[in-house]
Parts: sequence; structure tokens; C-alpha cells
Amino acid sequence: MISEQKYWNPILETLPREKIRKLQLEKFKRIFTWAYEHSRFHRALYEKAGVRPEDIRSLEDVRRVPTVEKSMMRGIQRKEPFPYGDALCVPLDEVSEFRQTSGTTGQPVYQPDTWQDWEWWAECWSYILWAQGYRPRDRVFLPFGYNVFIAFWAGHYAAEKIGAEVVPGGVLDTQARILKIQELRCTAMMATPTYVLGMADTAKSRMGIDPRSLSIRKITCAGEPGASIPATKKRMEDAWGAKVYDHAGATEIGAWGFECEAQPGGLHVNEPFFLVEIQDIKTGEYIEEPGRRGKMIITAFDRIAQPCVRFDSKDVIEWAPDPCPCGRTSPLIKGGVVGRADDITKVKGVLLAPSAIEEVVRGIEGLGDEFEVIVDKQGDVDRITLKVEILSGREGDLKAIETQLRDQLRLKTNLGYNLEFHPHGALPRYDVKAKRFRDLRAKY
Amino acid sequence: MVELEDIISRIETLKKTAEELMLMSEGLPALQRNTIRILAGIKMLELNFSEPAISSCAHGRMPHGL
Repeated sequence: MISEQKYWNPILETLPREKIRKLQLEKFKRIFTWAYEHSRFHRALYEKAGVRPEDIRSLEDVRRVPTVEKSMMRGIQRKEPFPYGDALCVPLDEVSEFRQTSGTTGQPVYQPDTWQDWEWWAECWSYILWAQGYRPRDRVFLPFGYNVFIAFWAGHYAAEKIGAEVVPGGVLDTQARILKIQELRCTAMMATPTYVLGMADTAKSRMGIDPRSLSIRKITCAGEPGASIPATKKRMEDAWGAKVYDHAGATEIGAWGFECEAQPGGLHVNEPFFLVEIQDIKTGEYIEEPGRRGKMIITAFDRIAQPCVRFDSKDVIEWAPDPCPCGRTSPLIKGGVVGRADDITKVKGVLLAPSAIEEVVRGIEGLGDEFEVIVDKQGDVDRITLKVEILSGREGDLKAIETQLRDQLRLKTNLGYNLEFHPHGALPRYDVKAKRFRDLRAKY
Repeated sequence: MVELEDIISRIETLKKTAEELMLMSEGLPALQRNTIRILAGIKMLELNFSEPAISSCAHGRMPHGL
């Protein structure tokens, strides 16, 4: 029976390390040559750096290839061939899909894909869904707005590809989505952690439905790091009575990382399709050993319309020390994406990652799922305000909760906070990616 | 257990046939557009089965084209 097979493709997923590295080198050479020969943008970048395809003979040589940042892509787009500009590697009439980045950090970047690229997206996601236990018998609900953002589009196509039944929950509101899940007895779902928690809250508080009574037994999260933050994962799993798995990807990269059914506390790199390098943010040194964080430089080997070659993703990651017990030979990223290089900011001289605050808030019973962090200045001194919600019925425990929160924040982040407690439901809710961190210091 | 070489050989045959269909597709949008989709699917078979072979033998080579 195909459903009993543990791996989507055992040949690639259990390939010995030395063989996968050899394969990665050959695939890197191919995509680098493709970009060099077909993209005016990449050609100019590589000629300026004095590196040519024949210079790449080892994975160490890969580091001679200049990295690409999102800001560089912004600079070349909205020009001919419109709207993609000089990085487009195929004739315009071969482009069959348009998506764009969310624009959280600036002007959105456009992403063209050919039909082959789109098949590739679904193939990468098929590895992910199979590893997370999705099978043809599953009925998968997708509660996201089907629009210009990549979100779970490729998850939709991959679920179809592996043979599952897909229920698109596009334009329904949250309550209608919950009723549809109930009506169709859907078994799996894909959403951002923020929305997974928001749906559970709506079901319980507005509809009198316990999400655990629904038939969702696995949830794939993406778009935010929450599913790899233990306290957030536990909240989601407790609320839904389901296994929650993390997945990491991006519009301009692809579906590069995923948690498997073993839930090893990290993400597998989807290695047959991506080369992940980790670079020290300050020194630029490449990090091979576990335990040191750096930013991810990533290459997608098989994406052709607008190649992703040594893209500086700004995602902060670290290698895990041990292989996963699931038997896949791809290395693990410990704890998933722990932040972004441009998110991790110095406050009062201390490095602060918003994910550390999330872990503390979501680990305290009596506090709601939502929170907000605002960094500003009081005179010349940095000040951090943390707004949290007290759950209904727990107001009497406020003093004890405040003490626990203050102690945990000090322990995990080495910083003191101005704490604000609000009634449950008072802070903003988000349907997709949340905006919980605001740094207002530039205004002072 | 099926041999990987047999799978690869049949993928090559599929690709050759699809490429021949593409050459015949001028003036036949239904043939051309469906064959493009088939070729994209064949590419996924190559990524899964033909390419791993290059890491397993000294003379293995990447399938032609990206």
C-alpha cells in the first residue's frame, strides 16, 4: 500500500551525506550556469565579482559567488521585460504564475514561475506533507485567502499531488471555515500559527465549539516561526488535539524546510532541492558546526524563471547536533527559524529576538495568545513595553502571573519590561502574519 | 524491487517521446500546451530518480536541460 510508505522518495531522502553533497555541487553548477547565461542581472553581478561557471569545482568555491538581497531585486523590477526586469531567465510567454512578497520590509518583490517551476513547488511540498503524515485518505482544509501571496498555494497543489482531497476555504470568514471543517470532517489543515490559535479562540469563545471535538489531527504551519516555539506549538496542539508541524519557505526561495512526524525540535533542510549555508552575521564566517547562530544563505537548484542563487534570506538559524531519528539523512535546523537578522535588534545594549518573548508569553497559563512589543525611548534610555492579555476568570491571579512573567522575561532575554495587562480580546487579531513587534526608536 | 536504472531508462523514453510530440505541435495548441505540462511532470521524475544517480556512479551525468 502506497499510504504505508514512510518516505515520499526513499532514494533521495536517505541518500548518504557524501552523495547528497556531490549531487548538490552538480546542481549548484547547473543553476549558477543557468543564471549566468540567461539573467542580465546575475551576469553583471558575477562578472563584477570575477566568478564564472567553470570556477565552481567544490562546495567551498560556491562561497565565491556573490549573494543576492531582496533590496537588489526591488531595484531591477518594474522594468522591461515588465514587470520582472533583468533577472527573468525565460521568455515572458513561458511565465504561468505570478506571486509577490508581502512587502513587510519594503516594496514587494515580484516572483514569476513557469509551469515547471510550479510543478517543482508542489514537488517540494509533497516531500513535506508526506513527512508530516499526509496521505491520500486525508481531507485537507486550507483556510487562507487565495491571492497574490504564495502562502499555502503550493501546499494546495501538493496535497492534490499526493492524492489527498483538498477543501479550499478561501473567502469564508473564520466561523464559516470552522463550520465547514465540522461539516466535512476535515482531517488536516494548513495556516499560520497566529490564525491556528485565532480559529481555536473563535470556535471556543464565539461558537461554543471545542476545536478538539473537530476531526483535525494534523496542522502544518508556515509564515511565522511559532510552530517551532515549544510554548506556541503546545498551545496549538492542546487547543486542537492535533499534531502541529512547522514548515519554512518563502516566495522568492521555495519550500526549503520542514518538520517531520518525529517532531525532532527542528526542521529538515529539503536538501535535494536547496543548498543551505549559514553565515555569521557579524564576521561573515561560514558556520559548519552546531550551536552557532547565523543568517541563512540559500540556493534553490531547480527554479528557472527567476533563479534564487545564494539569496541572503536574513533568516536566523543554526545546525542541530544530531541527525533526526526519522531516518532522513538531511540535517536539521535546530528550533526552526529563530528570527530574522533584521528583526533581532539591540535594546539597552542586549540582543533581543521577538521569538524569545513569544516563548515566554505563550508558556504562561493565564495569559492569552496575543501580545505586543513596543520599543521606544524614555529620555535617552531604551524602553520595552510588553502588552499581554489576561484570560477571563484569571484576573485574581494577576499578581502571581506578573511576577512569573517578569522573572521569565529576565531569565530568557536579560531585559526588564514595562508590562501592560489587558482584558482578553483587547489586542489586535491577525488572519495571516501578525505584526506584534514595533521599534519606534527611529522616531526619537 | 525495481532497479533504479530501469526507472531512469523509462523516464528517458518518456522524455524523448514528449519532445518529439513538441516538435509536432506547431498549429496545435492542445498538443503543445498539454505536452509542456507532461514535460514538467517528467522533469519532476528526473529530479527524483535520474539525478540521484549522478552521485552514485563516477560516470553519471545530469539529464540535459533545466
